[in-house]
Amino acid sequence: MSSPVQPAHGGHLSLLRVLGPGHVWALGVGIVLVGEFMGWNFSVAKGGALGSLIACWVIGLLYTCVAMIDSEVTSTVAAAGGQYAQAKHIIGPLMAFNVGLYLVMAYTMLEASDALVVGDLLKTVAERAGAPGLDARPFVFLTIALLAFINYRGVLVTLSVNLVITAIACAAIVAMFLATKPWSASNSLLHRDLLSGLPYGWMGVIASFHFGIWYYLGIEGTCQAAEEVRSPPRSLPFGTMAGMITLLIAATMTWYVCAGILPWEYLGTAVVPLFDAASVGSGDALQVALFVGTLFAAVASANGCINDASRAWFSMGRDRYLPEWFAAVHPRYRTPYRAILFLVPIAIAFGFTGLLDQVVTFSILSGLLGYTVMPLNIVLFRRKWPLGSIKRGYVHPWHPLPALVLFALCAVTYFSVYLGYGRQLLAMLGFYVLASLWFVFHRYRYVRRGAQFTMPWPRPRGY
Amino acid sequence: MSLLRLAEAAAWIGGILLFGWIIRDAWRTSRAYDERLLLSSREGEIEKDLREVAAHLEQLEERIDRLPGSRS
Repeated sequence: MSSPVQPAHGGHLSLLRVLGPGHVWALGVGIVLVGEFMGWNFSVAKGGALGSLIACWVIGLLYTCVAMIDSEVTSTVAAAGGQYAQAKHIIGPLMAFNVGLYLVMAYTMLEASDALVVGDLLKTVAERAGAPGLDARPFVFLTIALLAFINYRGVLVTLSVNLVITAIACAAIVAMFLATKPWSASNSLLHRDLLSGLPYGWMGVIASFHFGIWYYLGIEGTCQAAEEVRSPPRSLPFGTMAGMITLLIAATMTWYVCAGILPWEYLGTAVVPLFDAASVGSGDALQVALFVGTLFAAVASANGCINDASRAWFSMGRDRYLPEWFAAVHPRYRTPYRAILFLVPIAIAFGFTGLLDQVVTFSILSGLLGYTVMPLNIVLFRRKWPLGSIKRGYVHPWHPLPALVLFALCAVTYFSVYLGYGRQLLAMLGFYVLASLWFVFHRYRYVRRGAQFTMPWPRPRGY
Repeated sequence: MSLLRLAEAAAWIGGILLFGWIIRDAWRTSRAYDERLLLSSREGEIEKDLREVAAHLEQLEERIDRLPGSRS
């Protein structure tokens, strides 16, 4: 990719198809894995350690439904923008605009949160090394600028970097788990003493669902690579499902180690719980491994988020839901360079606020709104194009059960968010209502609806 | 200047250089290339593909016709 490439046909540049299933796995797991190193533990403050474990598995079920539905639709609608492109083909422009916006906001806020984590981690390490007073902001800025630079220079290098650092971060969790020797009678875990039931009852468990989302937030980002993988019908379902399995195992291991070492009162407020767990009675090597793991997980997540947010923004520009200027592809690197550049200052601005829980909550809410659309998406998809009428890369089982379970769990999670962050929930909904009004009354006139239908399927009425 | 302040300054400078490079390259790229070439589009891709397939079929038919012993 060192020299400018001529367009394949038709006078337009397109994204490069260079990725395999490993890159898809790295994109999904890379975005999410930071949630095992920090953030998930705020659910412990809401519902206790056991409540957090219940949240881990119940929200795991929610995301399994997301992964199943997503794999079917994405392996069929293989276009950049992921759920946005799906909503565009299956539901309609207003829903597609909203879904695109949910994706961009969720990933940009998550990117800002990851950069905040990098800054906080360096600050914590400096304090423990006896040098307090480190300003986190330059490191937040450097993290976002460096990752934007890598993303700008090409998708293959971006996701190859993610593959390596995600694998190292995963290895750090496994190393921590093995170091506690859970199989040995003389292990250092104190579950019997530290697990104190449900301190706030079942309402606390429901409240903990809010931060339980953090265990898996962003796994659906795998489908943003749909236009850049060599074989979407094979790579996308495989990468997404393998990612989901990895995360379920990693989340359970993380909970098991932390809940057996740290008391729930501390665990619920810790900034970097796995690193803290390693600091209690472990050797220096493990502490260094967990520091590196936390750092790499945050960097991998921010890296994947820049990739995903820019693809969604780029796709919306290409379909004229936003100014077409954003649909430019770099002739040398074949990346959506204007979309990448445009979102950098927004992420930096949120990163500079320093309000990790607020930024994370906005990301969670945007993600949750996207998941709520999925049941409707898959029901309409199966109704408009029944099995056998078009070629699908993957068919998810037991339809419509996963859609119904997903919808019910989303409703419970909204209630959970409302319990702790009701004002933010209403503010976010207000923002999307205003954005929708702007789209309907101003932007919609630029959208050429019929021309955007890019799938070789029988067209439904209205296109 | 303490080591912490030095690290902070290095991070600021590194970030500004990287972000500056992106802005400079994006500016130069946008000026160097025709905007219509840079803009990606999937509009009408199916029709484009079908036209390519039809043209390819025509070429094949012509080649078959030119083969010795063909019907024409």
